[in-house]
Amino acid sequence: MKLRIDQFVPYLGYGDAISSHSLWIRDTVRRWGYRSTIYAEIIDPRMRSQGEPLAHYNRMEEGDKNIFHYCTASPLSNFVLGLNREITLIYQNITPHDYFLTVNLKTAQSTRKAREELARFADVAELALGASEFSRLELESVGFRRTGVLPIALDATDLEVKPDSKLMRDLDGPLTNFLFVGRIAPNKKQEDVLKVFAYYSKVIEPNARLFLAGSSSGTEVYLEWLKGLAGRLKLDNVYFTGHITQSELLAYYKRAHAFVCMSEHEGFCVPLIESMYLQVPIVAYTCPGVAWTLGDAGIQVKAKEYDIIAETLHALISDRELRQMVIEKQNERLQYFAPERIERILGDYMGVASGHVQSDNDRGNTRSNVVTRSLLERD
Amino acid sequence: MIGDRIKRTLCVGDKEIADTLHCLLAEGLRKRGENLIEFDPLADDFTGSSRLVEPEAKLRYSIEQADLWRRGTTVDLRLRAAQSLTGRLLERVRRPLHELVVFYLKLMAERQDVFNAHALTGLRLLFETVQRRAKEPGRQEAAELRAEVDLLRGRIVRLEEVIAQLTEEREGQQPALSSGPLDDGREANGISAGEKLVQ
Repeated sequence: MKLRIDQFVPYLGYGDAISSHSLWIRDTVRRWGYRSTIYAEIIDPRMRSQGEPLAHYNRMEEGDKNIFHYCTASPLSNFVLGLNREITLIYQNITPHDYFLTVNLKTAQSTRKAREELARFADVAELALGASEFSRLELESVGFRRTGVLPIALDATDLEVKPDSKLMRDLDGPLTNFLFVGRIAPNKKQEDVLKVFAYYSKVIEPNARLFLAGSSSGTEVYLEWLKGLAGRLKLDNVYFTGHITQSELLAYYKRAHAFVCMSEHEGFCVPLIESMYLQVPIVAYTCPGVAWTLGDAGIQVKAKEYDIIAETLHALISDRELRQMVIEKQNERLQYFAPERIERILGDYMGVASGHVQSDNDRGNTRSNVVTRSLLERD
Repeated sequence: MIGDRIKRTLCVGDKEIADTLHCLLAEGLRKRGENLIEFDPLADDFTGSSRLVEPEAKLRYSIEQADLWRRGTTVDLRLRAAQSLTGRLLERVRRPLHELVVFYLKLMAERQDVFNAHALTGLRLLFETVQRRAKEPGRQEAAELRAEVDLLRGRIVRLEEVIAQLTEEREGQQPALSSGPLDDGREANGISAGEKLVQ
């Protein structure tokens, strides 16, 4: 009987970072020859074929491994603790609750509880992996003894689907397109993107558009306030797309002249990887998660000086040589997230890597060795 | 100064990119600085300062949000319906207890709500007053100018009265050309005293 590496996620959804990451891990370990299933508390109807409800879980045998993606306070936590087995915890970070206090009290309470409950797993997790160094440090501060970094792998298959052709045509034309992708949430600071865009379109070049792509489910109050701000700033060319399909997302990326991220809290920030892959130059506020993901790529800003950021965007658009240099740097950084590389890291951490992984890298597979080596790989 | 601001803002790992960008930004900012562009995110348009007035934007946001949340200050009874016999028996005891707690909590919440409403109104008024005061210098100047105009008008009236008196005295010394003011209030020269005052 083959050994199992199963995963637990609170929600298996369509297009969100945690679900995509768990699917990638499942496919990877299956390729290594393990049985692997994703068990979820809630499954999006579009993902029914990809996961199983918790009730279908059979108790594990000796040698089987469990991976728990921790991202929110939910009954799944008690279920995992009730297994009475060591787990590998994967943590992409949780937005601090105070961002949501004025937007959605329920979300604020749930994120606060999630952060408080994280420490409950410190004793049962044989290993805790952050998606970035920023998240790993947080795990360490909470009390996890063995920690490491497992970045999210670049899954190019999602980025190679055909972009929405009608939308591509609509986005064509003489206007400059700016893009930010991420749910409408106060920590993402879409208001700062609006202000940068206000400066750009009023002072530098009026022929421009801004697309803020992302769902506002649960943050409708904040969305309304953003629309009000756009109105007060007299910005006509701002579009809130709401939740979009993968092909629509690709159309936005393919027609974007620059990606603008003013977010103040990110665990990893997948859209940065997508922008790098799709050759969109990035201008981003350098909060810890973003700084780690970008490394020395993109153009990062330490202060929200809107005029300077807007001028930076203008420079990226008008100076072809500068744009090319920034994209080349981004391409270099992208190699860090290559699936083969992340696969090796995962194999090392799990101590179950397939033969070629171990021989290629000449790495030991004792647990302490694995962690030390993988930690050394961090930036 | 522009150079310092750029340095304080940018964080670019690659030296070549950083240098190129620095030059382009300095040039762009200097060029646009000549046009005296001013940006205030609270106003409907660009009005006067080159920096965004952050604290005011945050204050306005907080007041708006507080007002939205104030309306949700209430407490509901949250008691899950029990299925088992013991559960139902326990529920018979728990329900009145919960209702009692909720009753007092609602009283508290109502008082808090009234307090919140007053506190918010006060804050909003304070915010509006501060904003109005910020625009005060212009208004004060206009009021001072208006007062000066009124003063000058008064002087003109007095001067006209003196002139009219002098003219009358002079005419009194000369043979009469007309029989004085007409019945309809017009003087002999066709301009009424009232019209003169206004001019």
